[in-house]
Amino acid sequence: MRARVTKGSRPRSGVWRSGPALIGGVLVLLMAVLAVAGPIIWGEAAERIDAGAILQGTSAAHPLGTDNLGRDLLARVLVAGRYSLALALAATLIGAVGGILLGALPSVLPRRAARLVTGAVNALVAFPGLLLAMFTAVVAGLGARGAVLGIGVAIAPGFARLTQTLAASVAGADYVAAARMLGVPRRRVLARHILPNIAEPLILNLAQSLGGALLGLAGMSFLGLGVQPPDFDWGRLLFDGFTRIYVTPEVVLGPAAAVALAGIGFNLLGDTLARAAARSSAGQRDTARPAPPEPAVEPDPEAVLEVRDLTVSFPGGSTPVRELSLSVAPGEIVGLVGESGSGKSLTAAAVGGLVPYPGAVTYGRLRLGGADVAAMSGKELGTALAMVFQDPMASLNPALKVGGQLAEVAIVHQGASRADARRRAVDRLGHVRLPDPAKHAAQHPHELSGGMRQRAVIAMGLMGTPRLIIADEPTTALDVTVQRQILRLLREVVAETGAALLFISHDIAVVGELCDRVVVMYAGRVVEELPADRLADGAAHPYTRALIASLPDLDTDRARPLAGIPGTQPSPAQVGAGCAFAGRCALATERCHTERPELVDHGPRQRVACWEVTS
Amino acid sequence: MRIEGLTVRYGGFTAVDDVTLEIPDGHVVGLVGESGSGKSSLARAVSGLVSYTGRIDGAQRVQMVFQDPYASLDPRMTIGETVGEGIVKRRRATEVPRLLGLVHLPAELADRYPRELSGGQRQRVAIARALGGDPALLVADEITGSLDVSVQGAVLNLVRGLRDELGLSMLFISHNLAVVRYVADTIAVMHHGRIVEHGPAEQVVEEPAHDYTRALLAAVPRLRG
Repeated sequence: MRARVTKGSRPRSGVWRSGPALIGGVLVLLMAVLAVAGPIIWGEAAERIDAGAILQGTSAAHPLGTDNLGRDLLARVLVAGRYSLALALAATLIGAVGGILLGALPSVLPRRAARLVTGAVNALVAFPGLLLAMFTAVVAGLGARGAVLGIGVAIAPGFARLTQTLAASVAGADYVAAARMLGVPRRRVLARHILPNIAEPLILNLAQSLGGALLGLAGMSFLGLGVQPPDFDWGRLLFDGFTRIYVTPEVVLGPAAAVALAGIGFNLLGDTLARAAARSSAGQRDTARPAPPEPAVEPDPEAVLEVRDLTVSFPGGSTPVRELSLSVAPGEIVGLVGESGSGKSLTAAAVGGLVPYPGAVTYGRLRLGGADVAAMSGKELGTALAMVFQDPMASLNPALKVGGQLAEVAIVHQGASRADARRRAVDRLGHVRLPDPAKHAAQHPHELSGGMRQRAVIAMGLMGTPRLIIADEPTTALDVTVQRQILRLLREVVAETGAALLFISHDIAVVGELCDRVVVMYAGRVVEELPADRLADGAAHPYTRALIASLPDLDTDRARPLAGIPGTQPSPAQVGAGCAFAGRCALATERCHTERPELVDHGPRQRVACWEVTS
Repeated sequence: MRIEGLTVRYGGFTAVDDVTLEIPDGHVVGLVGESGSGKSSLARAVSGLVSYTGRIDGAQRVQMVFQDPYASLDPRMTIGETVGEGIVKRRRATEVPRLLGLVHLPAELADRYPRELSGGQRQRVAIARALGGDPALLVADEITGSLDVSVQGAVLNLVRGLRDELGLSMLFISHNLAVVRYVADTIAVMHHGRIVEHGPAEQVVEEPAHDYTRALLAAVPRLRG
């Protein structure tokens, strides 16, 4: 839920610089120019009948030869562009409009009629497109009109199916349910909610269909079902030249190349559009780790995890984690708490080398179990670090059995045999108190409840011998009763294995209950560190105190309004020079807005970054 | 409003099993239970979004506010269009600012799009849209479930304020007993599709009668010290 912020998506312009995109763009542009200018420039040459040059091959005057009336074929190919493209456009529009209407109908019709339409579309999709096109063309009569209708009809079922699928997903959205409850008529729901939200993929499909329609029409003309003389398009020129292919093959070269180039152009353009629209954060591992100067402080040999001056930034000036330092001792449970957007999840991702592209990670020191993370192999990191995420379903492959997925960890990381790995998987599942582990190991993830799945993910982390377990909101998707069980399990695992736990949560009550020490983050920085048992009455930073005050518990006075924190956390791109919390803080003075307080000691085992508290 | 013998089935699975529940005028009834206990199915039946058997009396003009404020607003519609959706055209110009005012949002937000708003603001917009339908009953399904704690307090205050100012009846659903206790007059505890306990909020929290209620109470995380 909380991780929905798309942390940095690749700029769309990048897509357009790839080779295929460039070729597609140039080809489509050329075709457009040809369609506009072709008939104007070569129109006369294409119609000029020359009785002295009938059925010639390549010559200086006629590079692609002439036809049976002595007309220049190169000129005819160039002129035919406009007609061919116009017909393709018409066919695509007929197919798209018809298909979208057909696909959208089920969302406005009563249930019975909707089923009927859906069934009809399914039947049409199963029909071969060319057959559908030829059938329609024959029924509608020979000629350009029949061919365009035919290709349009062939394109329509695909559009209808796409529209239907997309519309069905939007129709299930909460805002459509809300509109229905407000009594908005179905027609309006379709026009205002459904169509605008599915327009993008439909437009992409349009570009790709254009290429298909062009090829289809050329095919129809080639079969003699399309354009009839004296009109001509590329397909017709191909048809006319085909009988001479053994004598003067060059006469079919022109129309064939034109059809191929235009088809390739539109398909490449459609692909590019689709990729530009779909491109979100690609989960590439960031290998570049430019390190700032090594800090003067000596490494702490005791710490399981030691982070110094960790910064995560994204292009465009967004810096969600800023010079963060953190250390975790063996067997210690440290809670990392903050609102969504405070950078806590990215901190965890940076430790595991999982920051999504194009995020840049820099640090002064990042050591796990006494070794530099940058020098560790993927295998070493994989066994020393276990990560548990919010959604256990996303961490497990739904197609594989639970036991097999766990066993894979041991096979890959420890080189265990299949039988040994399986035995260990069942043992680990029992270790996380999964009842009847052998049975559950043979099941698929969907057969387990949410709590059981989270146990399985924790067991997967325990397949190695982790020095550190990072749990990122592991109980947020679970019920309070299951949450309690998972918290107890995590505590037991830490006690038994001696591993340390970095527990990330937005819920300060959960953190306070589970952890030994709490680290509070705000706008990418640590604002306070304190022992968990001091949270209730020893918290010093105004932000920590406000977080605690805004949490209703079972003793909250119902007669009084709940405390909240006015305003919002500054976005990672807009953190100013002073204290990031100053804008929402009741204690803030002039100094807080201009000068950033450092994290300094404040009593035993407590550190806080606040001018008003420490000075 | 009264629900009697309400049952919701999905195929062979019974999500809500013969539930009887009364929501008096101007009262907030809290509904707690774990996921799969049937509380969301009950809410959707009351809102007319799923079919059911049994009787629901006085369920005219039910509006619902959903859990995820990121999924419940149409990203292509401005806030003003969203809030004005249930209002006849000629009254929209005056009603939209009034509704935004009710949920403590500035009227200028009407021209913005949901992506420009924070989670808490979006949830207020969703509440304003529901109020635009002039509801006799407002169903709030886990409306603070995906909000930050700092924002949750303000939304809960808003919910209580709306009840006091507008005399709004409400079915307030959450798995968090502390949250429900704060806003509800009475609490109904749901378990395996049935209501196992229903009583005044303080009484359910302080003297729980059912074992399952006690288990829920014990699971609420608290700060030590």
